[in-house]
Amino acid sequence: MATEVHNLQELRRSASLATKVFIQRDYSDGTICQFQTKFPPELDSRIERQLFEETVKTLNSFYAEAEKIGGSSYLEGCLACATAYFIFLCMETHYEKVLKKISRYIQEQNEKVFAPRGLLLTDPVERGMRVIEIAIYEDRCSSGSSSSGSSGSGSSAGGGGAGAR
Amino acid sequence: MPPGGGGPMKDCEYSQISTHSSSPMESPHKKKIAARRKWEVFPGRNKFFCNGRIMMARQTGVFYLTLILILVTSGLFFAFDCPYLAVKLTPAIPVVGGILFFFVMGTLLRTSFSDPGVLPRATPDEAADLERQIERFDHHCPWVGNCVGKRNYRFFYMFILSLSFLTVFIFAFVITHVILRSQQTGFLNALKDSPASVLEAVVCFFSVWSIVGLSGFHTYLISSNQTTNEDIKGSWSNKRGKENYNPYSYGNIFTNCCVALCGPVSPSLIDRRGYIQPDTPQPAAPSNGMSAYGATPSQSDMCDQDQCIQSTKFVLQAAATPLLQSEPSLTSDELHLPGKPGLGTPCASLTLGQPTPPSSMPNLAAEAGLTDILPLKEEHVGHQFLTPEEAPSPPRLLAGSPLAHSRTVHVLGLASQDSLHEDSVRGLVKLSSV
Repeated sequence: MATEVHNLQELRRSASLATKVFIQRDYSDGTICQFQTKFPPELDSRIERQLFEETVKTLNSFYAEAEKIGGSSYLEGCLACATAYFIFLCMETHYEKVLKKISRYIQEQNEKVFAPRGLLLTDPVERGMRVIEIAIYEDRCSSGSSSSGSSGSGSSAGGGGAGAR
Repeated sequence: MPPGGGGPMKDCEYSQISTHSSSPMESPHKKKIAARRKWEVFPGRNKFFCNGRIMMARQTGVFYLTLILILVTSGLFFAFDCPYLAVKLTPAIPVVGGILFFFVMGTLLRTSFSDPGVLPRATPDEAADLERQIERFDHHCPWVGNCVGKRNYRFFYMFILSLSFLTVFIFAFVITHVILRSQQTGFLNALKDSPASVLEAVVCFFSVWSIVGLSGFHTYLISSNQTTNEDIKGSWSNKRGKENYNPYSYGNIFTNCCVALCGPVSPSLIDRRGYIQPDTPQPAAPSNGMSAYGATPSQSDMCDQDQCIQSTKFVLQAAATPLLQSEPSLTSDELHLPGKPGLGTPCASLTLGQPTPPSSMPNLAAEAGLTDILPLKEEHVGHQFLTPEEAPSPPRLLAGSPLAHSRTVHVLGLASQDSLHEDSVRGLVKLSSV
């Protein structure tokens, strides 16, 4: 784990942005909204591979649910059509409901998993559903540590190993 | 909740910040001046009304004409023909007419006022030359004053369908009215008694051909899951080659129809009513680099077409040069292709280099082809730099080569990156005044 203790509260003030990683869309299955689960090397020392993959997979499953074409989406579509789409003034679409779920999930992930590691996820909807932006923060007040958080001691990634440190 | 750390804990002052990435509360607090909404600095030739709730293309004159034609014709019908017909035949006539009218107006307004699926742009450099890019761009319809894309296609289709029914309905009953009257008083007297009917009949007669024809055409498009743009350019036509097929079609007509009309409605990606966050590195048009082609909302104007063609060439040049410049890179036109065969062809509809004949379809932007963005292009955030080998070549050249790597950022340096964000935000705001 990182030696510097990061709390979501302090990230923006006392930490400075070191770099950003962008998880791009995965088009191998067509144009549905999916993000690549490939682990970016920049995060190697910051977060466990498995946690990261789990987050991305959960997000992918949310988007699949939002875009699912099936009985309920047809029903919603037909109902909306029958009312000349005025019903959209009163109720939100299934997609919007799932987007809210996603943003709650991302918030929760940020608080529990990412911020303590000096990372911050940005909701893809704010980036046009193109990327998942992960901001990697440096701790400003860690004057001693020149670096990328993983600095030296950084074997934040518990991932494998035993913290041989 | 500190995870256990191995080394010495740094003794830092932590102050509370909001975990919400964008909150309207913050900007008014942080800025002395009133917070601006994103639509006010939207880099594209759009008009916004009702504080960002309504979004239309730049030229809306024909839309008002459409509105007037429909309102006047329907109004005359209800005022002059319906009383007679309701009494003579059945009161169901005005009721059905009313329902159809309600449907037509609802779908028309939805089509005209909604975001067709505009994809957000990133860098300020593009904004000056390029128009907006629209997901699953169909065409620009001057009659509704907006482009028709993924998000409002179903509204558009329902509009022309219901308008077809309404036109035929009014036409039929106006004729019936005149005939019934002329049985009593003679043909010329009948015309004199209800002059409105003549006007309605004329308007409807001329509208029926085009509207019904258009409905039929779009029914065909929906059932084959093509866009107008693709059909006109023959993107999926067999004439291009035996192997050519439409990868977006689900194979059967019923599914295609259901998906187009009853599929999920994707959200607007441009967040036009959100507040601009100047302190966070977020360009006014939410994020990432888009590739550069735009569909000009105005069509038959040759100047616009030329401008767009030139601007795309400009982007091509920019995209081809290796990056690592001081200003944010222009959108790379990399095409992230699904690894399926035959998907080289989507590029064809996306090509920059292909000069789409502007004269052929006046109501389609010449660049319309450029805006059919399925599959979505990869975009890069303005401050993101690509290593030379990743520097993109125009999408046409990428046809058939699936690019499946994740794009990570090679950032120049902390300081320059932050300042670049600042620049891109300021640049974008400045451009809005152009």
